[in-house]
Amino acid sequence: MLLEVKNLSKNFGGLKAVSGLTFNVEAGEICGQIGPNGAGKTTAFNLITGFYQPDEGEVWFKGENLVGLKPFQTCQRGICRTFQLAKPFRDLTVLRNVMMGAFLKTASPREAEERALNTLSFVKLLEKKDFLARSLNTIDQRRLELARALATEPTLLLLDEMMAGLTPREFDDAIGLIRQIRDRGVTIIVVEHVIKAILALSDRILVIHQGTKLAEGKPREVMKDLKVIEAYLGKGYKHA
Amino acid sequence: MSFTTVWQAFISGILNGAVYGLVSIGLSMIFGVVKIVNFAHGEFLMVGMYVSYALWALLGIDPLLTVPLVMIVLFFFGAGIQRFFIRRVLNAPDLAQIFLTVGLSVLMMNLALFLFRADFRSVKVPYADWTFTLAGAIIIVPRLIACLGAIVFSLLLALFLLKTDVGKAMRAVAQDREVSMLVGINPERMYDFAVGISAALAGAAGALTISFYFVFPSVGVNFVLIAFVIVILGTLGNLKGAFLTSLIVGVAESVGILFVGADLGLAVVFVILILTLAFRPGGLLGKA
Amino acid sequence: MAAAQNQGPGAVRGAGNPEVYFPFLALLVIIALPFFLPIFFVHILIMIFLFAIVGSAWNFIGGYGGQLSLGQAAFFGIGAYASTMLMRSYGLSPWIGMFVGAFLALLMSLLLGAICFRLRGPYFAIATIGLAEVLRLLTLHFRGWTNGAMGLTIPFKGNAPLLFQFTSKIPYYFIALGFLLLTLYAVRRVENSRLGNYLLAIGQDQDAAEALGIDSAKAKRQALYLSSFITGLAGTFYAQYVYFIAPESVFGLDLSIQIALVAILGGVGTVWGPVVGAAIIESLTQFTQYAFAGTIYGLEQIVYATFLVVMIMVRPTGVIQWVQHVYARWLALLPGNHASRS
Repeated sequence: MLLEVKNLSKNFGGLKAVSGLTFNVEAGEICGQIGPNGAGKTTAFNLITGFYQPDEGEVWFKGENLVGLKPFQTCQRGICRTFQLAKPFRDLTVLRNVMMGAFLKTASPREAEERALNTLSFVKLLEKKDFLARSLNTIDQRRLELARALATEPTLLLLDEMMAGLTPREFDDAIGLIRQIRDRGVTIIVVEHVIKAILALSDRILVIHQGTKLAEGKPREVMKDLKVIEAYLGKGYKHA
Repeated sequence: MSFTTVWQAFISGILNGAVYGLVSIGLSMIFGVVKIVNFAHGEFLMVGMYVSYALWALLGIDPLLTVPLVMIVLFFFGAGIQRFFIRRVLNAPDLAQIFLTVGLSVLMMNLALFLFRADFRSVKVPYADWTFTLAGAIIIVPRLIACLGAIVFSLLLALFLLKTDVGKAMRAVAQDREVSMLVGINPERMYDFAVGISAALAGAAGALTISFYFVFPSVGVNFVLIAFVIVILGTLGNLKGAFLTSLIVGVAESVGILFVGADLGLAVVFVILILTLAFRPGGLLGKA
Repeated sequence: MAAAQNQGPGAVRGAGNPEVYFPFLALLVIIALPFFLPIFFVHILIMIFLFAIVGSAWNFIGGYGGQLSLGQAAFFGIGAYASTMLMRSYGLSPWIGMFVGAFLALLMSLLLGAICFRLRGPYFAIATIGLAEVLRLLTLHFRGWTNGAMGLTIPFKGNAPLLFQFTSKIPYYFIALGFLLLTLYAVRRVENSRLGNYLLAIGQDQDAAEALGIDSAKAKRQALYLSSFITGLAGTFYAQYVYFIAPESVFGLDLSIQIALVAILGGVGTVWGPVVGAAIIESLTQFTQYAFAGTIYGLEQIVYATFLVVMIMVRPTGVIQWVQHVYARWLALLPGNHASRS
């Protein structure tokens, strides 16, 4: 068991964003997380990586409780996340953006550059390496976000809604890329609204609703579960 | 260290603090509305002092009576500074904005030096030595008047911001510039008002204190440093916080002086600042 | 030089290329200058070098680190007073005292970093002002140790190289020049290092940087340490050069502002910005002081401040880009094998 989240809770002035959330992630799997907007999925990411501190609960990763650590510390321990709204270093080149991630593993600028180039090649963004990050379109910015995270050579990668608004071609590329990342040995948690993506990628799915785990299991099973359908799509959509 | 000594220091502190407050809320307001740190704020006070002094020296008018005129003059002066200088750097990096006001500060100070020389001037009023005692603490009447004046003007500002349309518009701009434009407010106008009113308040502080303080070109510097400490501790942009903190800082300074001597009074204030920020980075009232 | 980065693949970089030979020539000229120029100009150049050094040091924390420091005088003054007091009391050579002072400045910055590093923007700036002011006031207060407002003089020992004293300005010139070149080299090295890159990222988006494992507080602290150490060294140089220090002159807010200004006017976060800024500001300061000081009250400051205000309004991001543009044009006019334009 790579990641164990136990009873995680976070209130924001009366609003229970995450409430008693408990789940596990096995090494080498792709764990999909779905749920309506505001269900607490991104908050959970923030809690796991240290951007927020939980009110209650524990996060066990490689035998250590991560609660109380700062974001850079969780990243140093092997968890890297992407942001839903990409946050590229706008005035820097694509290459330099990725180098920032690579520097986690090497202090040498030359080595960092080499690793960054390799990562860019892997996500197929190499031709744009000298472009300024702010000049990229949204899709490429997401690719950049992914490349930057990969450059840190994470053990666990948290992807926050990477698949929204893609064309069918881009969609297939993305699915393939994420699978390749898993094949390299990286465990991945994928948060998504696009059901097709979740079904295509996940070994297991978690349904999160109102800050807690509503359902869990193999993709097809979960999708058939009535409760899920109601929570997600609202009553009246029984034949999703 | 007798009770009387401490009580005296406390009272002095409150009296000083109120005046600091008048200067500080203006500084805080400029930051809240225009989002710029005004290093030249002390010079508004200085100009107010010189205008009041001139009226007294040339026309024999009692400084307290000059306050309204000083405020009007400073209002236009401040608004003018906003229009001709500050406005041009509103889109520039923060560093440039800060250094513009630094440059203006040096400029104004040295213009005063050039025009009036470095002499320490003072005003003599008939009530300069009137005192009365409050439970053993001696209160000098001019200082008391200054304190009361400061409180009155601060309350007037509060009323202005809460009840008048212009005041509400200024608060709107401070909260969200873009949205305030959507409801038809002209932010530029509000900036002019904000700086103008703040300058007027600082000028008033100058005119109020001239009967017991010396007038000289760099008189603004000490005030502005303390004002900065107060504004930061009270959280930038928070006017109630600024006034409350002024009283606290005033008292802390006075009491501190009892222990370390008058020359280290400012040092006491800064040490309080650094220690407070160490434990509460958002200021006394801000987020820890 | 920045222009060198725009070379095409087939560029000739031999000695015939003005980009290569001109800096070399310029350096030769700079080395020869003090032997030909009147003393007053040599003095101006020394002050330019000094302020370029402290401006570059400011740049580490203010430019690359993104934290506005208005209290660099704290470190400058510690350096100046430490080496001076050690020399006066124990005869310790300022060459050694310089490093003692710089280490003390470093310790002070450790304290500042530990206490104040969660602060951003104006909050940090006012804390640095506070630090320098407290030191100034304490120095004024403990006059038994420091002679208070009357300041300390460096005992005159004639020409005494081992005691960091020279009767001619020329050795000072070369020491300052060497110090400046070392500092610029350090800036360049840091720019290209992991620390430099991290500072760049933090300046762009601190949260995104943290998500990549960047310890932003640590990076900024390291920038602060570099900054304080170099500034402390410069403080000793100043003391040894002008033979007199006082709380106002080495701990004063005016000094801190001038140091920051040098980098801001020149161009923050660039190698040559502080050099350009120092050249402009120090020339202006020295000239106005020479021309107006003592004649008309405050006039030199008025000229200086007016110039400053105008410059900031006209070029808020600093003049370095304009200077680089002019420099590139100048190089293009020079004879030699120019690089192929790509």
